[in-house]
Amino acid sequence: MTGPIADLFAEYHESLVRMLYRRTGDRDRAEEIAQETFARAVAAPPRNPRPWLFAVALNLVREEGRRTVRHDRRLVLYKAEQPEAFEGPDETMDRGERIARVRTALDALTERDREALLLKAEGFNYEDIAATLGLARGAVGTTLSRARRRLVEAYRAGEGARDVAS
Amino acid sequence: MSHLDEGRLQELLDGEIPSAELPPIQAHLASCAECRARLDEARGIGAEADRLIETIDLADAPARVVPRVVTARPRAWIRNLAWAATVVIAAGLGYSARTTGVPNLTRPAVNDESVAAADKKAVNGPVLPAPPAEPETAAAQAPPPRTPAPTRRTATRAAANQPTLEGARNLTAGSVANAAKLELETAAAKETRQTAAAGEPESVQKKPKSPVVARLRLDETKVAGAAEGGKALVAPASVAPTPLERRPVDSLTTKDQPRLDTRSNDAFLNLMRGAPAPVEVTFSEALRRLNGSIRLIEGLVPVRLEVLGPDVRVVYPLAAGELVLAERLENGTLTYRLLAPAGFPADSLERLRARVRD
Repeated sequence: MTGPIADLFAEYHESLVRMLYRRTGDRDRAEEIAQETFARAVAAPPRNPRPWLFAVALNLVREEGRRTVRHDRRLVLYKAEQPEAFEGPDETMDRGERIARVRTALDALTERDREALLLKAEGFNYEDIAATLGLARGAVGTTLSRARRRLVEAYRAGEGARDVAS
Repeated sequence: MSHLDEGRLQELLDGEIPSAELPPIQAHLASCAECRARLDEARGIGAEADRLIETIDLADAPARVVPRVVTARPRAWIRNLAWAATVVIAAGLGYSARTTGVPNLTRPAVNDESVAAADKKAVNGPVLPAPPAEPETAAAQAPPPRTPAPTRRTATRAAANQPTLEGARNLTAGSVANAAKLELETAAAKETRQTAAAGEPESVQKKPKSPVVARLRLDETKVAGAAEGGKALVAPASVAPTPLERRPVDSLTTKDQPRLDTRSNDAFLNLMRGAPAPVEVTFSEALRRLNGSIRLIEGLVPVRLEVLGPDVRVVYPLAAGELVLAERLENGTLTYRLLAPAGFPADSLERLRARVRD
């Protein structure tokens, strides 16, 4: 693989896979979607690559979600097994449990808010977030503000929950 | 100015406000405790949100080790490998085979200059056994040396001039030479070690004019197709499905070579020489094999990462082929070596060596 696509790949592939992994919870699916995305870039090299790549990838996620009925593997019994955990501080929690809780918190966001947050986490500036998600640039700040707040609230609300989220 | 709304606060925190617009905002904050408090709160929430998201990390979910190639449609891996068998043998023997109908929409355009240069180097360096007359012919007709151009720039120009799919097809021929060149260089360098390590030696006949038949061994690949591809190879090698034409080696240009997937050629060449094939891996997998750290050459962008035995190979594109930074853990220490195509200037190699960084 040489040339411009190689450059794109080297620069964005890992970031794309990470974003997709956080978005879907499924590493293999993330890799597949990333592959499909870069394949499309080969066929039609984008002028503004980063927003394009991530937009295509996110569209693929949405399409797949609509097409198939997916068993949601992300939801995990995180409290039922540890009756006293709700009293404990974050640090004593098993890391896997923590991750599961973050995922649940992410799920509490709207799709748009969640995507904006994940793009920001990949170092996107507001302009690129706007371009990727089809938002007005002026709306990105309020979107992120809402998304960050809701994520933290949802995560904190997860503390003390005893029921299995379903 | 009026109070800062939520969006504005975020823009401030994320550094999205042009410096020219900052003074009035700073002035307001200096005099408005409420906004300062809201800013602090937003900062705290932002930091926590970042922390939460960062708990989800790729390192927690390793990918399976499978070869990764960017293609526009699913490849017939096995079929390509079988076709590759006929051509690679032919190329090595100074023949070229014309094949048609091999679907290949792989990589984008490559610099034509670099392709020609690579071809020249391929035929001049130590290659697969070829009829003795060939090297002289090639040397006599080799194109005049050209000043090396930065690969990336010219490749981009080439890419801009061609529709991508055309470029993708044109790419493979030169890359065959490139790949063949590099793998043979490294294989030659490592040959004794590998045959010793390989256990049962492969039977590779080096008679110039007969097809080379080798027992195929695939190392570390988990692609199921590979095993079948291995068996399929033996048949085409002895029963060429297309007529072979004898042509002078220097005419192995982009236009003449059949369209093939380079990786199959790459892999097959190695298999023919009884060496295991490098398997492409993800960045995370490469890191994992090196215990979390990897050396890279500062200022260059790798095209792929591979694993071959204990080595993790970081492959960089050059005008004249590929440069490989092969690294491995030896007794817990990371050691590396730089592998360059033959004819690569030693001082350039030294300069590159100086740029190897964590």
